[in-house]
Amino acid sequence: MSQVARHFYIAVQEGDGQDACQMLSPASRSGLEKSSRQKCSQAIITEDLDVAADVESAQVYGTMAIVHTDEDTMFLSRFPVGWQITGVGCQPTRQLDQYDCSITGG
Amino acid sequence: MRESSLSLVFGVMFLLALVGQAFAGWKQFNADQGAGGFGQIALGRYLLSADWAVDVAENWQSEYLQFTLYILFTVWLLQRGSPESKELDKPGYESEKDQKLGRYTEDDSPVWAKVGGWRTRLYSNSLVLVMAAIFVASWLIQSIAGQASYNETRLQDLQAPVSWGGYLTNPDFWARTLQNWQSEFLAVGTMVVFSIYLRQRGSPQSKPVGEPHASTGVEG
Repeated sequence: MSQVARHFYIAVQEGDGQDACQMLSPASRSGLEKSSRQKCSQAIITEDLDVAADVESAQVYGTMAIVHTDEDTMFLSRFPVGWQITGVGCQPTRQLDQYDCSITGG
Repeated sequence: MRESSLSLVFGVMFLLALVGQAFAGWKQFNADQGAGGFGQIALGRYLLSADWAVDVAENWQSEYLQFTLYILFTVWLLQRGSPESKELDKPGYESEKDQKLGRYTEDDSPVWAKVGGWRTRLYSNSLVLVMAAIFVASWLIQSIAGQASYNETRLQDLQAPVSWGGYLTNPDFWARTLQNWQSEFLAVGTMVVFSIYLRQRGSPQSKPVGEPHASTGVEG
């Protein structure tokens, strides 16, 4: 799933919204489109995401994974098609174990 | 086969229940995944999952704890009137004569009962030791699989995972553990007391139907 994380940030950096959106889970895509009132491929490029350069660590628990990068944290879930992003642009809140994500949807 | 019918019937029932639990657990897991917008998995993958492992292990550890404590406690603890208890004048390890050890072994006594030394001491406690070992192993598996399953849920809620050490002090671990322990201890306790006053003709778990309530350590 580290590959998915790196691929996602590269797609965002290169402005390839369609490619980036394919890596979001269906619920995350839907959540972004509802909140931005735009198509995902447009909304994701205009979303103020910090593009990470390096994946620092990754942990997998069952069908879920958490990836820490040098910029933020990403949550992924394993679908039949492969790992998809369920939360990106995540930062810890005042409750240090709870994250707040720019894009999420389950 | 009739002489092994008890183990065979319970063995078959165990396997049927385990298979049923696998299907029901898999359906429930995927329903929860789907409702939360997360990936669903095939049955084969579910049987390798932490969710399945913790659900099985948490039940096994409590069953083997129940038997470990029941076997151990009945060496010393007594209950007047219960067939689950020894006779009131026989608490403790009992004599070599009662236990068919030393010069009281018989020709067909188990080899390690006759040989003496550490092997006889070990064999004399083998039932508790094996039950306790299975309890410890399955409780350990519950803790490891439980941590993974708990963290899977935490990640779904955008929460940081907890360490294994942290999980051992977490309410999720102790809720799973204690919900099983309370039912096991209740079952043994009620069996000890109910069997004082109630009867089941033909079962060795019951006193004979006409046996007085005060009779202790008598089986039907």
